[in-house]
Amino acid sequence: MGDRSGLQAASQLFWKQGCTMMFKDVADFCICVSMTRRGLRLGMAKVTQVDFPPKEMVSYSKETQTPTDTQTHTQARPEEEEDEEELAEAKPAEDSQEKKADQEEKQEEAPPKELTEEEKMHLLHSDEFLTFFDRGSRIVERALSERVDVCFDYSGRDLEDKEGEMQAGAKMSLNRTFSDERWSKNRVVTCLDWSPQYPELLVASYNNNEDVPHEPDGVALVWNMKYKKTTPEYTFHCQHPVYCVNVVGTQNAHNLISISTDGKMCSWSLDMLSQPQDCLELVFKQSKAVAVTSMAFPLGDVNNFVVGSEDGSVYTACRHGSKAGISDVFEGHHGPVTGLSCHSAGGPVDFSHLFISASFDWTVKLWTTKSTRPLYSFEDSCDYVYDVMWSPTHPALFACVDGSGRLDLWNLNNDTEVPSASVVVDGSTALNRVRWSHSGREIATGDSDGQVLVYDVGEPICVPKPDEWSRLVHTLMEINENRDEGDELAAQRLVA
Amino acid sequence: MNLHCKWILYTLTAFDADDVFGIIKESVEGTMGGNIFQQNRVDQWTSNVVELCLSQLSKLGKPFKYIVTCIIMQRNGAGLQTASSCFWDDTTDGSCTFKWENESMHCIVTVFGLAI
Repeated sequence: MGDRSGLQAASQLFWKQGCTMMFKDVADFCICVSMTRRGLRLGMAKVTQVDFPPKEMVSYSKETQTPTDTQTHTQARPEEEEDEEELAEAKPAEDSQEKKADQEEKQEEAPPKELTEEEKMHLLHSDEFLTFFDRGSRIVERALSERVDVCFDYSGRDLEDKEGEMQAGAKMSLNRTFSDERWSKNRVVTCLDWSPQYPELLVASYNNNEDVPHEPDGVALVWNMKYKKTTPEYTFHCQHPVYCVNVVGTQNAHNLISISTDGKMCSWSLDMLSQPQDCLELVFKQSKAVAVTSMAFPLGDVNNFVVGSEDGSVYTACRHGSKAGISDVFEGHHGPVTGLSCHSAGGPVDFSHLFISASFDWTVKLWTTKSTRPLYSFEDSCDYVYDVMWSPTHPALFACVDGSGRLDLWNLNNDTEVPSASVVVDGSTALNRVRWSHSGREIATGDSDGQVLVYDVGEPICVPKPDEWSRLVHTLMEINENRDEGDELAAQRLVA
Repeated sequence: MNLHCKWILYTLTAFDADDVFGIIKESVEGTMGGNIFQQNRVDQWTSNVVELCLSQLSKLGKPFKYIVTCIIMQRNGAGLQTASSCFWDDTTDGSCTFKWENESMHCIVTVFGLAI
């Protein structure tokens, strides 16, 4: 091939039919190639596309409150200052709303710029910032020291699983210790009581301080559980040591009853404390004056009461009526009776015939007014038991304290051989008094060193379940059966 | 001189996308592999990629006109969509697009080869 036309024809043939071609040389080849180009057929090519999708950015907007004179620096504030201002949002909303309106206007005019070091220091020391920070940080500090458990499950499901753990761990924990350097040091706590009106108030009475004879012999201090301060709310003095007081009756018709070791029981009207309203000589069998060391009134009863005496006997007595005076004697203790408590937890079953007594003979005994022999004797202590008290809410629970500094909680439905919970106070000082709070959740104890300690009781222990009352009925039946079988009548009276 | 033309003609004259793809890949990875998007160096990279591609393509010796474009985009979460199409002779002309990315940037290089 040589001529162009021949090449052209050949190239077309080639392209159409794809037949084999032979070229003389490379030049011919190239010409052939270039000629094929003349028969151009142009068409649209496919579209080539590239697609990078945008990244999803989750964003939220938050407003910060800034004082009007520093608006232009709003967005450029350093991180820490923004956090502090968010604290300040807890402030009254009226301020922030006005300032925000101003801010929005001015922000459009002045774009934010980075603050210089001097400007930042100036702001940090400005009065407005300092007051905001002061108030804000105080509120947050209070909130932070709040010990409320926000994850608490009221439905009790969590508690069922954790009951084992909790019983092992937090049975009783020391909440507060009240002690006053001047007034309570070196005095024995003789009596404790919780205020029915203000559950956080607690009154403690103290006897004389032998080291300081010129100070008043009797002191009563009112302590407040609500605040963390360590001084008493109120202080009262009197010339004689205070041993025990009890207010009986309703709010309108009430009397103050006091008993002393000479066997005289006086009832006083709170309006006239110079002379008792009436007196009652407590004598047993017309001869023996009862040296009373403790006294208790059953729940709701203002007439009948029980007293414990130095000779180890417990007596029931009446204040008024034909049988005024001592009625029955309950013998069982081998030492002076130090504390008495009548059952007070109201519920579906009435257990007000039950009372417990504590004594120097290392035991606590359970009695019923229907029988003169003790129902049961709790003998876990190794020292004088100084005081005992039924829980005001849980029918089978009572607390006792002894001279070795032990505070025991007994649950009759759980175990009558050993206490369900026990704690020894620091220093093992003898505990003289024990008092449940009206809620039944806290216990106050007084020791021989003038200290009042308040313990929180763990929920599984102090909160009664609805079946506690019926369980106690069975427990009492068991206790009674275990007693000397000879007393059939007493057993029958109990069940009824 | 005897030449068996069919295949040779085709390979010598048509746009070889695979070959071109390899060339672009080398150029891009050689220039930007292991680097993080840096504003002051990006223009250097784009021109480098384009130049490398073109020199390699011209070394192929094929009767083609080449157009090389290189786009480098920082990965900031923005989206990017491009599209291109051509009106040419399908049998002889072709294009090849190579997409490459790392954590900080995207790179798109397109080579259009138009037979002379």
